[in-house]
Amino acid sequence: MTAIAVIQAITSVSAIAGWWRSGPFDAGMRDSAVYLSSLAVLVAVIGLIVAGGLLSMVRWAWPLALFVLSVQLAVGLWAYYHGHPNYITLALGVVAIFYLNWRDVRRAFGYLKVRESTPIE
Amino acid sequence: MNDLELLREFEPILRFTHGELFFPCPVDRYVEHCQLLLGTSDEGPDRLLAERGEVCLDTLATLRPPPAGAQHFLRFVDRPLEGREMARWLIREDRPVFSARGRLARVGIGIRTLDSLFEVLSLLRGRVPGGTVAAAERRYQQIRRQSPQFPYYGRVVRRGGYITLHYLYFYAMNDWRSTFHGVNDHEADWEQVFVYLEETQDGPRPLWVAGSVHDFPGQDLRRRWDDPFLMRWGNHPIIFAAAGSHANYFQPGEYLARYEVGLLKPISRFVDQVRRLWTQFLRQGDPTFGERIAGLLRFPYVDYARGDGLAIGPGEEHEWTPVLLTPEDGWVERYQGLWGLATSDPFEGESAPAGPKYNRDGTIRQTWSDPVGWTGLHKVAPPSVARRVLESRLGEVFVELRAVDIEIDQLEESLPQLGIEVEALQRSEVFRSILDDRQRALAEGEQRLRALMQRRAELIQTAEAIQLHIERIEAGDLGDPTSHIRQFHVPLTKEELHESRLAETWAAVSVGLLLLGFVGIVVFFPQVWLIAAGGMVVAFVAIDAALRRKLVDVLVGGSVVLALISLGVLLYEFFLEAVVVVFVLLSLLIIIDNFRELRGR
Repeated sequence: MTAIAVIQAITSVSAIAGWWRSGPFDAGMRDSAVYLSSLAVLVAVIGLIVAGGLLSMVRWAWPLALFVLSVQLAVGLWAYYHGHPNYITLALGVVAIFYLNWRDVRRAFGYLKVRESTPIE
Repeated sequence: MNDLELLREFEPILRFTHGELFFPCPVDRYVEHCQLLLGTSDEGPDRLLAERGEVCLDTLATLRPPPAGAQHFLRFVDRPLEGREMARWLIREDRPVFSARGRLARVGIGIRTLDSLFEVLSLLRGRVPGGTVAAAERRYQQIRRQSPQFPYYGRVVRRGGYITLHYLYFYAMNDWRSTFHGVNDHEADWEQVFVYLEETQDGPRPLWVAGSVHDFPGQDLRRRWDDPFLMRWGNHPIIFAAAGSHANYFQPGEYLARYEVGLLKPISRFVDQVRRLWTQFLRQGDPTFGERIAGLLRFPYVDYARGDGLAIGPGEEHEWTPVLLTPEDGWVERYQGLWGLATSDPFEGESAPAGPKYNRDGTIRQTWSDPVGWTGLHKVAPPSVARRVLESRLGEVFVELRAVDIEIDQLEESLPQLGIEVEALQRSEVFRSILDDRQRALAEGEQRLRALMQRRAELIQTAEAIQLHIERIEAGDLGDPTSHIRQFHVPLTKEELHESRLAETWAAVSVGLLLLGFVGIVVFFPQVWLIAAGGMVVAFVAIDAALRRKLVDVLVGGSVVLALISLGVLLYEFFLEAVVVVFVLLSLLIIIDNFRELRGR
């Protein structure tokens, strides 16, 4: 879990740093680029919070991590479709999602359903 | 006790749902109200063989077999109600009011979209015409006025160590689709309940109860007599008949029934294999995840078995009128035709059933020929027999154990001698041919002794288990009454029943809104249709999931789908590298494992 949290934190920090270095909200940017850029930063910030949550093993971190990873994968797939692939993001996302969905991990975060077989009275 | 007394002693109580229109009805009266026709497989018209009032049970018993490709059938309703007549029937004062929450709010938007397509397709298949239920209900009320009693048809079968009491209920119509938003309508409906007894010195003793639930067979349908979830009134099991479909349930409530379309069955089997790999081998998701995925290919329908309506049976407001079936009842034994309208429905759900003995294709129903096997009871010995069977088996085990012990003793004596002989022969090359022969014999002897020792241990454990089981049976402990059930039919929980009004409304309008949204995107935003359509689907799914309190489930599903697509992309781009990585990892694992072994020495 620590590894997933650290990777999540590094990904988020690097995304924010990259955004900052490229000059946020340049006057020449199109509206859509501004929105996408803002969304990426928002996801990165949430990613940092998630990393902290995963390290502390708090319950809300699990669905939030899946959400952030899903957004990252969706963006990664979109970028791949448009000829700007980031295979490392995709690979890390795949590993992290399968790991989080592993039954023991789900149990640790309290997200494993038990089979119900008792009828109502 | 004779057969009729046996049937009466254990006859079930049937409790119906308020709003039910059709109750068990006498078959002789029913056929008097029917026309008899001969239908052919070609496109030609059906041939009328006997008019209403001319048909009786003897007519059915003496019918000649139909020509090849043709089938006899009865028609209860020849003119469905229309227009003003239909309106009058709908607003009649004595119409029982049935209200229920919609079935669609109980499943996700994906399956609702498929369901809507299925509904549209179902308009194209052969169906019981609209207005049939109304006409059938009117005619059924005439029958009730003529014969107000509620009959069941019963028989007693003594086979497989059980006395099987077979109760058959005949309904003039199954109006599940028209009246209760179910899967199908059909004229005539045969339902059945079984009570399995064992003969003891103190008389017959009830052991199991089973009831027909749609076309499901198997051991999930039976409940043990001491099962706390089986409701009884004295010796009479209480069965809750579902509204319209008349499926038999053991608990009152509303059941989410899933109907699998034949065309989707191959896909369903494939999904089943994948879900096993996913949940059992890869240990992904929670144990119910696979079942929910499999459920995506089955359309949801609700069986309302509330038990808050009319009740028939001992101690209830209405009593049964039993009719004992005998081999002399020609209408049971010889009539292989359908008991109501034959439609051209390829799924057969809208065609009437054949009689109590036959399937629609003329073969004999398993419930008739093998009622014990139908619920998987052949492998379950009744307790009185079980003890005898166990004692007999224990005797066999001890006999085999003695034989094994004798052979072990002999080998334990002979093998050391053989070993010494081999040792002696090894001292010189001269005895090579004898040595080979002796070594082979020694190896075979060793192998045989190992097998015998293994067998001995198995026999001892088997004997212990049998003795323990005999003691348990003697103490009256029959074990968990539900251990044979693989899939429980349980009513929906209170939480599932109380979906919010908002969720209900959303379920009703969402699929239509989604389609309208697609049209709007194509017309107004053709340049960005893909992003817009994708965004809209995500938004709809999120709203739907939130209203159904399934946000986490949908999030998991979505993330796994994205991960699988990404994995596909990675494998497509880096297949060779992926193979290399897998082999490198495997090699590392082997080296690490071997090093651990070395260090552990």
